[in-house]
Amino acid sequence: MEFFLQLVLNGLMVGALYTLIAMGFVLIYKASEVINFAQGEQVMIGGYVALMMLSSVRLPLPLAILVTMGLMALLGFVVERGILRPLTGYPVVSVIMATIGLAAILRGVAPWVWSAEVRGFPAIVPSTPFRVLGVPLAPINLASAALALLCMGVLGYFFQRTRFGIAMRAVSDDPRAAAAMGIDLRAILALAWAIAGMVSALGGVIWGRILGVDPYLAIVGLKVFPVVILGGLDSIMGAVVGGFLMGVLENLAAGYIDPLVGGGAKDVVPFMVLIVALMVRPYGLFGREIIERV
Amino acid sequence: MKRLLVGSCVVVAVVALVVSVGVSQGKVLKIGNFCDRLGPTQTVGVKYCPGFHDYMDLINSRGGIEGYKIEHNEVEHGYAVPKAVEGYNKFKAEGYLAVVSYGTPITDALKTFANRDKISLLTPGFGISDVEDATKFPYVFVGVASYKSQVAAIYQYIKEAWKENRAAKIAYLFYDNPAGRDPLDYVRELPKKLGNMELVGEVACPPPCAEASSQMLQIQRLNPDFVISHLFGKGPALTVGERAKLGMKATMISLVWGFSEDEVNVNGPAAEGYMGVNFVVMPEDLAKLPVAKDIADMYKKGGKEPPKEMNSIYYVRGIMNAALFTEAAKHAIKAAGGSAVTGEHFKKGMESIKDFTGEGTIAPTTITATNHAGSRKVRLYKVQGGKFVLVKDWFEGPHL
Repeated sequence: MEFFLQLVLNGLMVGALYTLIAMGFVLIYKASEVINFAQGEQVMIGGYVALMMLSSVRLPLPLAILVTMGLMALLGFVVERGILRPLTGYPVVSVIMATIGLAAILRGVAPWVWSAEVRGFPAIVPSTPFRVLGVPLAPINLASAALALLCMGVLGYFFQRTRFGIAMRAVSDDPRAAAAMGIDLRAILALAWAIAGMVSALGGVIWGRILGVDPYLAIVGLKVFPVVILGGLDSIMGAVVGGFLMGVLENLAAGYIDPLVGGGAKDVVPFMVLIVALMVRPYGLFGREIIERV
Repeated sequence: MKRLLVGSCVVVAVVALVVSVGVSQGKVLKIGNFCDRLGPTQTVGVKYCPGFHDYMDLINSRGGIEGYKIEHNEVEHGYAVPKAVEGYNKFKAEGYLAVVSYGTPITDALKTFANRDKISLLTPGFGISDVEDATKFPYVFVGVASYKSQVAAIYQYIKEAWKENRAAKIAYLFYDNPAGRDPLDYVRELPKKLGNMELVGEVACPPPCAEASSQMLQIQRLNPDFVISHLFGKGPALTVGERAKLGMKATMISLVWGFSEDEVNVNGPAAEGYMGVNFVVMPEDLAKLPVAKDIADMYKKGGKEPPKEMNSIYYVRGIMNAALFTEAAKHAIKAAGGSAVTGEHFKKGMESIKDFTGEGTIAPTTITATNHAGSRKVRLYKVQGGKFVLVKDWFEGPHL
């Protein structure tokens, strides 16, 4: 029982990490119906920038995180303005290919600017684990879970209560109608990329602390892809639930099935569940069901 | 008469030009290197590959080998077999005599090509154990401790360090690819042979092993006294951090690709007590060797600062690989006896390496026509106070 509890708690902690990045995916998709394949690379850049703020500019940690969020928002804004806006009106596949191209560029630029060696993040929270019901929990994982929940709360408030948030939802529902009502579609899209950039910055700090910062940090983007599909591409709540669910599934598969099959179940089982879930709910657990008459 | 004289001069000049071109072409040995600067093991490649090239440049700046210059080039394969095969064919088409392989799956793919094409393939720390059989793979060379030799050495250390009456419990954590699986027979059988130790479990981490918390939970459940870790890329640093998070007491000892300054840089104090074997000396030791000063001087002569990669364990391995090849080249030129050096000559050169220490970077290594394994010796280190402390000098473990 303790092992089961350990796997579930660990899965929730890992899931919280996935959630942070999954929100970036969802924000972009919500505003533009584009899957941003450069999300992992943006997380990596966020890690590098935060590290630079801490080690070169020597800012205190909270300020370094805030400045990184600002700079990543700016990067998101520039990407939208420089790459995506000129593609307005082109088929969605062009925009998707542009994000794949952006991923390759960011992966190439990072080692060029910062070198490819692994860099360690200074300790953000104490590293000594403490025990809950006999299960050791790492403060960094708890911090990321808290951060993910905080992000969910802030974004939830933003979408429900603020003018820009409501406008973003309107654009997501029906861009033409939203434009007809006077909402500036371009501004909303830029805002979505900027917020996604800020979320990437947080992901970069947390994942960078755990994995170290190097160009390969971008791989976390791939890990998160099934999370957003399962949760629903256009749902913040889906990103959070999907993240936690996938984390727990991975851990249970690793704990109980890996020893029987010699390993690998951790990577396979979540995708099997994903396929089954999509067969039942093709729009994901919390995604919006769009019924079209054909 | 005048016309005849001029004509003769032209003929002589043309012949001299042709001969000189021929000689200058003959005075070049082409040696290739595979590298991963962009793929999952780029943290290794960006430090290891400069070491290889710097040493080759140093040899050339010293005047080459017996008058021959080394032409050394690199193929980026991103740890992908198809790209490596493509790169190998490029090397072959351009007349390369020898290539350093990079990555066990890649060595596995290239081993038969090397035999067919008579191109010497050096696989130190990148090989699979079957290439040690010189009768099956006459053109493939290991040179330094293979994964099996590393595992044997770790077991040897555990046997000596374990003082309790009960059997030491050992778990094996490995990268789930040909490299991680290569020493499995040694991992399973040696505890039975050595006695007072028991393998309690094997836990695999599939590539790229970018999230291994559940694997470490499995390890914790096995409650071992020692963990033999054989991971690559981001896996080692990740698992060292997880070990600290879980408050595990087991001693974790890594094979060569999981024990570097990266694990210390990423984890800081959480890396304390982490151990690993190595078949080259540490960068601190390299700094005391004449070869390090020579490389630094070469850079300074060119108006540049010595590269910071010199502080990496992987850089030392790059030097070691290049040194083994240049030593082989020296013998190959002698074997050629003035004629053009061929693949067969280079193989003979490799098989003439005797008690070679790679400018002080490795244990004395001898390679013969029947033994391509070279030295089985490693050093064992421990992270203490954020630094690598030598626990056991050059030693080797038992054979199965």
